[in-house]
Amino acid sequence: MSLKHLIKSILLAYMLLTYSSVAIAEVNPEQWLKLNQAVINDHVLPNYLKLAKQSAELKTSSTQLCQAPNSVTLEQTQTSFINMLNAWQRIQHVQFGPIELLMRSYTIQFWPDKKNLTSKQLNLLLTEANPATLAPEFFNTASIAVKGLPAIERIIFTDEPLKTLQENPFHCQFLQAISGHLLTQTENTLAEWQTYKQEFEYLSSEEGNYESAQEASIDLMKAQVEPLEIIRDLKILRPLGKTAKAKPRRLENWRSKNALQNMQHNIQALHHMYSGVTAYNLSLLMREQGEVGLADDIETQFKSIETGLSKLPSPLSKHLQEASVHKQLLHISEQISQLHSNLEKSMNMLELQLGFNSRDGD
Amino acid sequence: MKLRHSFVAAAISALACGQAFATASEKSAILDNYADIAHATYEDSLLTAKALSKVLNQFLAQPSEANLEKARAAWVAARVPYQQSEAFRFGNAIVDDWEGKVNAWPLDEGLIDYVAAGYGSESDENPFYTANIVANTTLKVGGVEIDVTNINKKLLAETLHEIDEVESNVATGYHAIEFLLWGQDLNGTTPGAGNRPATDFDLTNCTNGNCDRRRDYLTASTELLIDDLQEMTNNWTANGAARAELIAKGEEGGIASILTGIGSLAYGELAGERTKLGLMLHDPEEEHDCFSDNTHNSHFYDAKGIKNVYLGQYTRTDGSVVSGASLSQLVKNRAPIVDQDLQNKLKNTEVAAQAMADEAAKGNTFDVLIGANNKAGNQVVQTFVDALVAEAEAIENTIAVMKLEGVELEGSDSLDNPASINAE
Repeated sequence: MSLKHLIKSILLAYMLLTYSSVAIAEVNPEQWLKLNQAVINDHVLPNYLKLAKQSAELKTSSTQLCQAPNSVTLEQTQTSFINMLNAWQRIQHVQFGPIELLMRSYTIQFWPDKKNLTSKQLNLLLTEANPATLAPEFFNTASIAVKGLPAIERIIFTDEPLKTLQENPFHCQFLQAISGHLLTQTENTLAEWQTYKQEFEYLSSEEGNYESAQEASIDLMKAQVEPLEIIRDLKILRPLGKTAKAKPRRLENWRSKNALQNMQHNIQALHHMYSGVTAYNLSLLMREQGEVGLADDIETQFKSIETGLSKLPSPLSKHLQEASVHKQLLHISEQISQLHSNLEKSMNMLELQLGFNSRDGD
Repeated sequence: MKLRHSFVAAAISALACGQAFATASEKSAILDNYADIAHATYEDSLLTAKALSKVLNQFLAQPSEANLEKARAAWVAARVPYQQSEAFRFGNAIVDDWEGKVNAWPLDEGLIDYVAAGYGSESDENPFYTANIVANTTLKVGGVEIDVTNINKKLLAETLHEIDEVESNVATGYHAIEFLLWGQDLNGTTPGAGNRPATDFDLTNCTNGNCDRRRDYLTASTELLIDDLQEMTNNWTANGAARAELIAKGEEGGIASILTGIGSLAYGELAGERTKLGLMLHDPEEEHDCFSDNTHNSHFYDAKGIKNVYLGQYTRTDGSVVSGASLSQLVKNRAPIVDQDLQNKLKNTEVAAQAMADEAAKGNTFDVLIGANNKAGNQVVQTFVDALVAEAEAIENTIAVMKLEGVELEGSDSLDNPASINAE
């Protein structure tokens, strides 16, 4: 037994002594296990499968583009890029497990890029055009700023992408190399989940990654709750700015005009995780615990945010400085805050402590 | 299993027997000592900034390479107490709101002075990316004209700092001064720091143009730093606003703020933003003191600040010691094993930080260590990250222990649910 486990046990004993008299309708381990199983099998795994599929398509279409750079192959590659980006937006909220290995999550998308590093580092590589930087090994140690979706976006969504690609074959070769690296990462993530999912199949374990099903649920529930703040702060409020004019270039994926779609996919994915997984889900668990009102409120809020987003004009970057759009976005950000606070409430009610998150201290 | 059960049993029986609970006055004494240490740390930051100013005046009077070296040494010395003060930043809104003026980072240095071609000419984020205040008396951005003829404290603090709401437009503070003293570090991930010539400040033998304006910038930014540090030192005096804000939270709320502060610094800021990100980007500018290559010291003293707060003890620049009632003792009274665990983790972090400093002494500064393909160097930095993450977990454990005494942690801005005992 490690010291860490020992301390946990002691703390747990304290907690039990303190709370056992006041706790109402404690969630039982079987409920946590059921939740973990349903969310992993019907939400996490299918979304990683989709991501790997879209990644393979992007690899294929970028290969075709480089063989024959014309408007048709370019458009195909741009479409494959958007499809993979959308698939990523639907699983971006999961920040634990195989996606954590080798910095995969950051590799797929390093954003926001406050220091303009993607531009700096990518331009340098494209100017140097060193063949060694096309090798798969290069990407194992390369900066996260040059090996993900933002780098690809800069290559295929510039002012005159076709002309640039035709005149600079190296740009296309580098695009192909990044696509290849992304495919390896997404396929390996999917493959490793086939083993990692076993961590969510037991009630308690001495050797496993988690001591109990409840502890495993913490990782899943972090993915349910915390991304809402990121959507609100980074994807909405940061581009809007505090007082000065809104800054369209701070929107995520403004080059490919996908900022609004990104958020729609984010919210839909979180909504699906909350109540769309039919086998079992957080909403059902809350209802079993008698929290019907709160569960209904959360459901209504998800729907209302989805409706709000669907009413916004696209591309958002073109309309961001319009007063009405500004107002709509602020309203949505407030709704996201309320939804976040209700989900936190549900975590307290279920006595699930999510702990520090990596954004503390930002 | 047996061991675990016996420990749990021991813990339960200790509780059942009515182990000594902390009295109200103990907690109040911890808050007092914390505020005393904050005051001493900010006062030391102020004193070393004044010493820096003095050396800078000598340098400007006689801009020789030798005097520039003295100025750089004074800047490095000024960082020692300031970095230790960062443990007071998170958890105290009055500090966090003020901090951007003195230690904002990272910065787009092209706002301030000339840069090399590799810096690039434009940024998605920042229209003032290459504004170059030293070389220009007017700025034209987005059709708006700004008069920057006179470089003074008011211009830097009120007009230029965070201009256009861009955080990387850092016109004031330690890192602006650092850039003026060192210039860009153009060595990439190979050894060597910025190498600005002393003649950049020489009125008779001026290099890179506009030496008069560069001198004005250096003087104004240093004077501003002193003003700002004076303000924060005052805030922690017996009747100061920061101390009052802390006391107003009540004893338990105050203790929560302290733990919030050290946990947030260890985890999100120091382990994440300032260290792990650099490791992933392999970019020589992804280091906290990127011009001077002093990052190893900044990280070491950041970590030391956390230790000071937990142990309730601070060694001042002059060698005297401020100490008193500590959180450590409070935790120890409740759960000795939890206290011992955090103390061990603090030690591990210090060892890991020292390893980075040892590498720096050999020429392998932080930007070298984070380079792509520097596997051994990357590992030295990763060990520091891992130590901080483990430290943050141990801090979470102390919060859990505190909560059992009825500490209400709501109202702490940067912690969502600090009482986790399970989070990785």
